[in-house]
Amino acid sequence: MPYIEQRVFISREDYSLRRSGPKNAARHDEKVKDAIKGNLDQIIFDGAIITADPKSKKRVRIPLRSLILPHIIHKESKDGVGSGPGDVGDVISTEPGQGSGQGAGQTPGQETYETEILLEDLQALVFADLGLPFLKPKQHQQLETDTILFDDVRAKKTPGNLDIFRTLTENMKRNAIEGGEARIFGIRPEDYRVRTWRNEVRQENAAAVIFKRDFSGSMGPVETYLVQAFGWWTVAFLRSKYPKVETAFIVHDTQAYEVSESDYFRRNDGGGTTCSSAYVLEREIIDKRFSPDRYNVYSLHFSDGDNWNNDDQKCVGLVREMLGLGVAQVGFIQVASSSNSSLRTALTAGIQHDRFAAIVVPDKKAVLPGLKAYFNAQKQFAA
Amino acid sequence: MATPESFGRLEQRLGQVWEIAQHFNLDPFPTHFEIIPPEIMHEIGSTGLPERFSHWTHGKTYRQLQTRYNYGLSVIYEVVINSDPALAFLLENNFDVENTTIMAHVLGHTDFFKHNYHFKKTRKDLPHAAAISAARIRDYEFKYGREPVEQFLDAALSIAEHIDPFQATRLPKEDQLAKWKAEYEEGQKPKTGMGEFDDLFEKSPSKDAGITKEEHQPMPIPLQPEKDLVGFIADFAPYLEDWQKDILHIVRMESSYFHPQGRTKIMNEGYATYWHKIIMREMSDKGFLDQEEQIKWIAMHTGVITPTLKGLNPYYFGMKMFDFIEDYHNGNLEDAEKRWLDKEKLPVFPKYKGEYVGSPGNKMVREIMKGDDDQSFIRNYFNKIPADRMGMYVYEELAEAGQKLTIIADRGWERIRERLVASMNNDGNPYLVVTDANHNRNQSLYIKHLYEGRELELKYLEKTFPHLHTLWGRPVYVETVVGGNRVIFSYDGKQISQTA
Repeated sequence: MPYIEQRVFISREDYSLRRSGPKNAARHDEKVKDAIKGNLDQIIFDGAIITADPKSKKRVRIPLRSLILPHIIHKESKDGVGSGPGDVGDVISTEPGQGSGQGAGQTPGQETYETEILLEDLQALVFADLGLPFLKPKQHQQLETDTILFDDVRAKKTPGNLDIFRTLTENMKRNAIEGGEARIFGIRPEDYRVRTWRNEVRQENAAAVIFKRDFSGSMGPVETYLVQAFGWWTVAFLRSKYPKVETAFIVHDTQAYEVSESDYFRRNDGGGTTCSSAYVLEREIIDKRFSPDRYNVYSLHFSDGDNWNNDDQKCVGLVREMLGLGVAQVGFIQVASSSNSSLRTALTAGIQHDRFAAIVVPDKKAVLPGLKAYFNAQKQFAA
Repeated sequence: MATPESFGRLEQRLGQVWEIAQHFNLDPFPTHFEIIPPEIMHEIGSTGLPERFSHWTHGKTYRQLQTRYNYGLSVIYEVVINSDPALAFLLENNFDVENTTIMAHVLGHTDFFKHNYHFKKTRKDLPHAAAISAARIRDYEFKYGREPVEQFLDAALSIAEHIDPFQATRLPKEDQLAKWKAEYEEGQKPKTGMGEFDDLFEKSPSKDAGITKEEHQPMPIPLQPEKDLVGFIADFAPYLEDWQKDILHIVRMESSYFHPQGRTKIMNEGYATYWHKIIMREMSDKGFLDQEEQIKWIAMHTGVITPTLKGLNPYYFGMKMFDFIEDYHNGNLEDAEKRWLDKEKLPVFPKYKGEYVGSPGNKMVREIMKGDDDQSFIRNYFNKIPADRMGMYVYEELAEAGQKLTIIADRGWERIRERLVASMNNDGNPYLVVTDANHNRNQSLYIKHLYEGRELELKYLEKTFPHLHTLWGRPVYVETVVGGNRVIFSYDGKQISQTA
C-alpha cells in the first residue's frame, strides 16, 4: 500500500554515514580544550590535581562554567512540589553546603558543567609553553632516552597497520613486472607493506634541578600550598619533558637538610629562618654531584622572603658565586604577598644578571605565570 | 535487536497497536516510525529535530547522552516530531515489546499534536524547514567563517525563548513602522470624546486642530512593549548583516515550533502514557503478548512513571491526572473521595458500568486534552483527589548547620495547585519586553522585566548581556526588581553598570 494512504508506517534507513552527532560533539570538545587553556591558571592549583600521582592514568574533573550558554532566567526557588510519604515537617533530603542562597562563586542548582580530562593531557596543555632555559650540551655526560618514532615501512603483516597506499603500489609494481601491466590485481602477502616503529635513541642534555624550600614558622598554610603547587608542576613538567633530569630537594629553616622528594613536599616543622644555610648546602651538592661542566644546573629557592637580619647579603654572595660557576639559572620565588621582602630586595639589588630570576607568586593565579617566567625556553645563550 | 525478521514482527505489532488505538477512537496524524541506532537517537535527542543546524550545545548534550547510555544509566526511549506526517524514532537495541509500548505511546502523542489547541498554528513541515535552515547556516559558515557564525548563533540562542508565541509572523520592518505610525498619529489626535463633531464645540478649531510641531513627541519604537525579543532585534537592530538577520529568524522559527511542546509537556506525556497503558493492557487481554513480554512492558512502564520526591515527573503526574478524569466521569471513585466532592459541592457522577470505549470517561479524556495547556489543565482539573492519590506536597529548603535540608511544608492541595500554576507563568521564563529601541536618544535598547514576584538570576543575566550586545550593537538596558527595588542594569560593550 502506498505510504501516504497508510496512517502508520515503519521503516529503517541506513544511517552509517551520518556524522552530525560526533561532529557537534567534536566542536564541543574543541571548545572544552580552549576553555581549559583559557582557564589553566585557575585549574592547575586544584587540590585533586596536585595530590594525584602523575604517573597514574587518572582523569581529573574540571568545572567549566564558561561552557554553559547563558539565558535570562529566574533565580532558583527554595520550594517546589513533590510526591512521597511523610508528614508535614519531615525531612526528605539532606545535602551538605549552604541553602539555596547564592553559594560563593557558584550558581546553585544550575548546571555547573564539569569535564574530565586525562591528567597527561592536562599536563601537556600546561607544559606546552614551558622549557629549560639556557640549556647547553655538556661534554661529559650524555644521557639517553628512548623515543618511539612511527615512521618505518616494512614488509611484515600486521593487519591493523597495513599501509594501503604502499601495498597497492607494490602490487602494481609486481604486476607490471610479471604481467606487463601496472594494475591492481591479485594482492598477495608479499605485497603487504606495514607501518611499524623503530626505537630511536635520542640524546638529552644532562640537567639537574635543585629545589630549596623555606619551611620556617613564617611559612603558613597558604604559602606552603603555593610552594607545593609550583613544585609539583615543576616536577611533573621535568618528568614529562626531561625524563632523565636529576633532582635534589632541600628544606631549610635556620638549618638546611637534604630530603627525599616526598618529604620535600610534606615537611612542615619550621623554626626561624636563615636562608643562606640552604644556599650553602646547595653549593656542596653542586660541587659534589652536579658540576656545571657536566650538568645544566637549575636552582630554585621558595620562600616568603622573611630572613634573619644579616643573612641577606650572605645569600647574595652565594648566588653570585653560583652564577659565576656556570649554573644555568638561579631563581628566587617569593610566595604570598607581593610586597618586597628583605631577601628579595637584597637579591634584586645585588644581582643584575640575565640568568637570575626573581619571581613573585602572591596567589594561585600567579603560579602558572611564575612557571612560565622561570622555565622560559626562549631564554638561551646567544649563539 | 532489530534483525530482518524482528523488523517484520515489529510491523505486525504496529498493526495490532494501531487497530486497538483506532478502536479507542484515537485519531493521530499519519505517523512514520523509524528504527535507528543509539548514536542517531542521541543526535536527534540532542538537537530536537533531525537535520537541525550544528551547534556545540547540541554536541555537549550528545556527548552527555552517549556517555549515560554507555554507562547504562539512562536510555531515551522515544523522540517524536510534531509534523504532518509525524516522525517517531525507535531504538534498534530495544526489546520488541519495549518498542511496541513506545509505538502505542507515540500514537498518544501524535493524537495530541493533531487535536490540542496549542498546536493548531504550528507549521507541520518543520523537519523539512529545519533542514533547509541548517543548509543556509552551513553556507554562511563557509562564506563568513565558522567563528563569526558560531558567535552570532551563541548570542541568538541565548535569548531564543523570548518570543511571542501568539504572533507567528512579523510584518517586514517598513510595513511595521508604517502601521505603528498610523496608529500613533491616530492616538496623537486630541481626545474630546466626540471625534468627528469636534468643530461644533466651543474651542476654536485653529487651536486644537492637530498637534503643533513643538508638542509632537517622536514616535516610540516599538509603539507598544514587544515580547518578541528575537524578532524585534532581527528587524530593528541597527547593524545586522542580512545573514545575521536570517539566523535570528531561523532561531525564532524553531523556537516557535518548540514552544507549544514546552507549554503542554505534562499533558502530552501524561496523555501518551495513559494511552500506552490502555493499549498494552488490551494487547495483553487479546493474547498478543506472552508472559515474558507482559512482565517486560510493565517493568518499563513502572520505570517511566516513578514519582519523584522533589519535582514533578510529567509521565507520572500527567497520567494520574487523566486516570482521575476517567475515574471521575465514570463514577469510579472511592467513598472517601466521593464524600469530599459532596462536601465541596462538586458533582458526583454515577458509576458507569459499560465498556470503556465510548464511556463518559473516555470521551472526557479526549475532550479535555484538546483545550488546555499545562497551566490551565492544573488550574481547572487538579484538586484534593489527585493530590492525595499521588501523595503530593509542597516542600521547602532550609539551611541549617552547614547543611541544606528539604522538608515537607504543606500537603494542602490548594497550595500545591497554586505553586504549580505560578511556576508555569510564561512557561517558567521571565517575561521580558522591549520598551524602547532608542533609549537615551542614542539607539540603546531598553528591556523591561515584568516582575511578578520571581527575581532574575543575576549571574546569568550578567553573562547574557554580552550576547545581547552582540545582537544589538549598541548599549543595552535591562530593568528588573531586586530585593523589592527597581534596578536598571546596563551594558555598553565593556562593562555592566547599575542604576536606581
